[in-house]
Amino acid sequence: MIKFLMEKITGRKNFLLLKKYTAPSKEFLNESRGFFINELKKRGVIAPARANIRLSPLRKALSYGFASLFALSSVTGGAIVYAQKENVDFNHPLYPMKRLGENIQVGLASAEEKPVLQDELAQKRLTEIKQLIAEKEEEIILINSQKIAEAKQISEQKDREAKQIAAEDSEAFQKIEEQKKQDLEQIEERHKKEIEKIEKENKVKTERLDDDFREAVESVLKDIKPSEDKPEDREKAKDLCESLREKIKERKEVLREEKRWPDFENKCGEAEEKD
Amino acid sequence: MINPLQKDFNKIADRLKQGDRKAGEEIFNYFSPKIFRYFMIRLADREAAQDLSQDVFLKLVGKIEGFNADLGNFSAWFWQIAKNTLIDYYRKKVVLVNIDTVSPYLIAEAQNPIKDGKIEEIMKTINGFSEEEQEVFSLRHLSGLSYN
Repeated sequence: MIKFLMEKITGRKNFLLLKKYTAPSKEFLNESRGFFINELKKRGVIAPARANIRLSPLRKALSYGFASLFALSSVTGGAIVYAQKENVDFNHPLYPMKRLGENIQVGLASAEEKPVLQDELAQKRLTEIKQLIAEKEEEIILINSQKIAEAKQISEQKDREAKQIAAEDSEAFQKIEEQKKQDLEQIEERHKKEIEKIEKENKVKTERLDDDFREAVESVLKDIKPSEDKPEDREKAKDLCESLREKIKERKEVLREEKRWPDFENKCGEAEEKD
Repeated sequence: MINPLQKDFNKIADRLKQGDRKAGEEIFNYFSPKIFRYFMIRLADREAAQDLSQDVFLKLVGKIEGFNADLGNFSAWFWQIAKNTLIDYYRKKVVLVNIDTVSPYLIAEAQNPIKDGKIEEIMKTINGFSEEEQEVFSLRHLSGLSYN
């Protein structure tokens, strides 16, 4: 499997190298384009460029302004709809658009709908946190497998060299052994740094999502009214409490330490069911 | 059937015939890098690839009026011009060397040695392919043409 991966990586590298080698330069393309267009003009295939229609500065500014505004609103609107529909993940460039769409939804929701919506958002943040953690683990596994493959390759290569030299020259043999040790240490150090970097980045992202998660939960808690007389309100409050209790349990290692929600115990009872 | 992701170059060629400058630029922007790569793989000579690429576009200017979209596909028609240009180039080289016995890659290599060892190795491997295989490799994998 590792050998297959290494072959794939080498093949891909060679292909990219070849693509780079066979690519035309920008200067050549620009020069040739001008040459081609001029030739088209000379032979009468295309007409010379049209004179520009002159607009008054005010009309020009207005038309640019409207066009920009229209383009901006179309693009933003489209991006929000797409990001919401596809439920893009935290690493997607349109993720801020998804969050913007969610904020708009919360802003437009009625007082009754709001806590339910915030509860859904808390669930989304929770799913994203889990996804981030899983991604980090996958990346670390990949780095480790690359490390093993590289270390194996270096070891084999150095062992081969050492075998050839050992019989003839013991000093050179020693040198190769030392080189091998250094190379292996370098690989170890490089991969360790990569893993540390991934863990650090992932931690920052997870903390941000945890903050958003807390915000959503706090917002739900604010809207829970268990003391209302109406039985349907009591029922609704009970459902929301139950839903929050499940979510809090899932992130208990982060949330228990902080005890940020005395409101939860006031309104819903114990945050965690006792074993 | 036209691939929906690909431009309809028959329509673009018609626009060019009607004098649309933008159509000329579209054709150039799309085909120019692909044609250059095709020549680079076959010749391994940057200067020759540049000269031949320009020749192809010059020929296009002279022939575009004769292109009939009802009779065939612009892309295939255009690639035929590129291939014929390469054949003409080989014919001129034959005066100096018999191309059946010495590959154009080796001629180019002698004139412009490749400095990068890895590239040299790759180009030698490609040179080991038959002419037809080289053509398929460069058109499909480097110029991004479909098998259709």
